Amino acid sequence: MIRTETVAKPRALSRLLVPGLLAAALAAGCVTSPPAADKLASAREAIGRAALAGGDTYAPTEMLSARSGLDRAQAALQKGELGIARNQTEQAVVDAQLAEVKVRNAKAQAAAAALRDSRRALEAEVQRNQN
Amino acid sequence: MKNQSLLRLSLLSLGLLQACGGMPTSNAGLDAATQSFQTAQRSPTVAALAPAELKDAELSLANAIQAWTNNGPVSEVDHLAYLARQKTAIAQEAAAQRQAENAVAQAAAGRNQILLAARTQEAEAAQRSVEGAEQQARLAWQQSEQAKREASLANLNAATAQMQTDAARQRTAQLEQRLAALDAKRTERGMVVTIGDILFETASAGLKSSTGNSVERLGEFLLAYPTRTAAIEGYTDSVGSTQSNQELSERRAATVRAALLRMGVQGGRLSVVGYGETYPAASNGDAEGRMANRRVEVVLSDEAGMIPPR
Repeated sequence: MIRTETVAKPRALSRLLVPGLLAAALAAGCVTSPPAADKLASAREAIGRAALAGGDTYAPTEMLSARSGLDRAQAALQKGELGIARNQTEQAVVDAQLAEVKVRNAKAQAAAAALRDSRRALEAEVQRNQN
Repeated sequence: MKNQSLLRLSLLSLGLLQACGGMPTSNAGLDAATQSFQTAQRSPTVAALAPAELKDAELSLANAIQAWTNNGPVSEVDHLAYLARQKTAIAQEAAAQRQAENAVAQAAAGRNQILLAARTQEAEAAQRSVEGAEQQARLAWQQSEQAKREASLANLNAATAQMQTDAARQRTAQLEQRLAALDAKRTERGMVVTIGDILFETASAGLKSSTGNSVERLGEFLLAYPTRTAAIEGYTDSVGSTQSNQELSERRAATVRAALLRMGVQGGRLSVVGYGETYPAASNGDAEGRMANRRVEVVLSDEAGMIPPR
């Protein structure tokens, strides 16, 4: 019953949304907002996400690389060096992504190690109880 | 699939160009990216656990090789190679992360298994103790049943004993009654029945017919109590010779014995003694005393048949 609503809603929404987006895209084309700025924003977002996850603790090298890449991208953008800006942005994004996945991996490893320890303790306890 | 063959082609052309000593010199960044990608690709963990990330890295590497073979600017090749390398690292990390997560899930399952096994053992132990308790209860019940049986048996025994006591008491009462009917007197030697002179013909051993009653009761008593014996003792007064008195006393005692034998009392239980004029019961100075002395005494034994001698 909920499904029919959720299906119906986006359809109704998209009916309004599609022409709206089309108009917005046209308008944007007229204003010539540089796509590099959008990419810069998404790179900043990726770095923020990695930092929030604990990247500065678990992957400081990648975080440093991502932030300096972002800085270089911003500087290049200001100088109008769009190619460099684009490349630095892309590098900052993968650096941030790597940092984030490193954090997740480190946490998973820690959890596995902790569980191994607790399992060992549990086994020992069960053994003691049986004897 | 398409991308894979694309990469193979790229790698092939890369090799060919290098072999031919073609225009672009080898790019250190691209070599490093290629090498690390190939390492990741060979790892079964990465291939199995991070296929999407590996694919992403592969595309980036293909782009880098493409740029390089197309004689693209070194900075562009370096950039694309860097992206490929980082994405390969992402695939490696993601694979390691998922492997650890799987281990966590397995460890949790293993932990549950251990707990389950422990709980099963606890349950079995509890079951065993329940069975033990049941057995003890059964045992206790059996013991109580046994006790009940013993108690009822004891009751029965008590009742039997009571009955036996009652019977014995009754027998004693009967005996007392019979002895009273016999006019028996309790003496030091036991119960004594005296058959008086008037029951005998004068100076004769014959019993008067009226004595039948007294001797008859004596016979019935002896028949009723077959373990008892009787000592039949004859006595006379001092009138007449000692010799004749002795004989008379013996004859009279024998007469009583004969009467009892006729009734069916076994002879072995009946002893006969004549005491003559000895052991007078009263004075021989007057007629009344002499009459009392002329008598037959029957001493009744105890249950064991014993009679203390005179």
